[in-house]
Amino acid sequence: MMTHEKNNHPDHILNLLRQLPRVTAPANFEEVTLLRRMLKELPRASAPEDFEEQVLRRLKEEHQRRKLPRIRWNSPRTWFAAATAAAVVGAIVYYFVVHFAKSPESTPVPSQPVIPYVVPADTQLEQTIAPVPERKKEPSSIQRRKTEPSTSVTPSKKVSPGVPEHEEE
Amino acid sequence: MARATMDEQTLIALLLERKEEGFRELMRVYKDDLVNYAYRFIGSYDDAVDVAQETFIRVFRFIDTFQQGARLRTWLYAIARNVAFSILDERKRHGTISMIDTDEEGHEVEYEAPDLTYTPDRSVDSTLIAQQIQQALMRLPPAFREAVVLRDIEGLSYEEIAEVCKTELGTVKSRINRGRAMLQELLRDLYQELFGEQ
Repeated sequence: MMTHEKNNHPDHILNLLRQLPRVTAPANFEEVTLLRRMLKELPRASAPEDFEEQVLRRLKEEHQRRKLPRIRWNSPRTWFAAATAAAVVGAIVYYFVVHFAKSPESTPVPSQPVIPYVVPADTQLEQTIAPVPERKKEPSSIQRRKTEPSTSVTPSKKVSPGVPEHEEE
Repeated sequence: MARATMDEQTLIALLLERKEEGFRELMRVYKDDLVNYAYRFIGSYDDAVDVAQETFIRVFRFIDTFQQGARLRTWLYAIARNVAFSILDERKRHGTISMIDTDEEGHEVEYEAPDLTYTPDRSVDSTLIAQQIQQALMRLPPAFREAVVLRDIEGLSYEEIAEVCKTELGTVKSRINRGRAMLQELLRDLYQELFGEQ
């Protein structure tokens, strides 16, 4: 069938095909062929014997390293996460500062008036020098009873702590 | 390329499942090609082995990004190319001078000042001829060198090279032709020695 069709081609088509321009080899064809042959025949470098083992070892090492979370500071994601965290912390701090600044609890406590410490006249001087907090307490009933019978008319003195009594005299 | 024991789709499926079997098969098939490509491109056997290793590690890391329908071989060469270029960039930072020119199609091509002290690895290039050819290859600009190596040494098609280099087909052809022409000039003495008057 095919041969029959081929034989029926008009002659002018064959003539046209024959008239197609012929492609010629470039001027340096032989040189290029030689060059390509030389390149093709170059000895081939091959991988070392333990190549696969080395790669697998490196992969295992890398896998181990990846298990530990590492912060990559050169990544924009890291910087974004850090900025977000800083903004959140800042907002929380700001909220609490503003909230407590407005609350009545945060108003300053008025300072207590200074009450002069009155020491009875017959108290030992050594006892008055050191400002011991317990002494600010009211004298006990026993002590009061001891002091009352004396019915001394001697006025009580104001003694400022730290000032020796004999200097006044 | 070593003979593969499984078809590419099976291999990719194993790689996607992170199966060691698939990974070993991938390395067995492609390791020598990648080492050879990297050696011819960057000129140092130790660096070439590093490039190949790093390539497989990146494959393991980024296999999820592999596009179905793409060719595994060209993907591997593309990764190896990126790793090799990063090594070249590293070298450049240590004092190599480079110049930028444009090729016939207006693309920028970087020319490095050739390292005249370069000596090929004698464990690979044991003959004088092989050493001379490798020296000449290293004097080509990297863009031309990679095109010639991929075409005439690794046997990739023009389309595959365009895919590896992420460039147009016309640019690939141009780079190959110019690279070959430069190599011919550099190897003129060797030609005459081997084949008489050319």
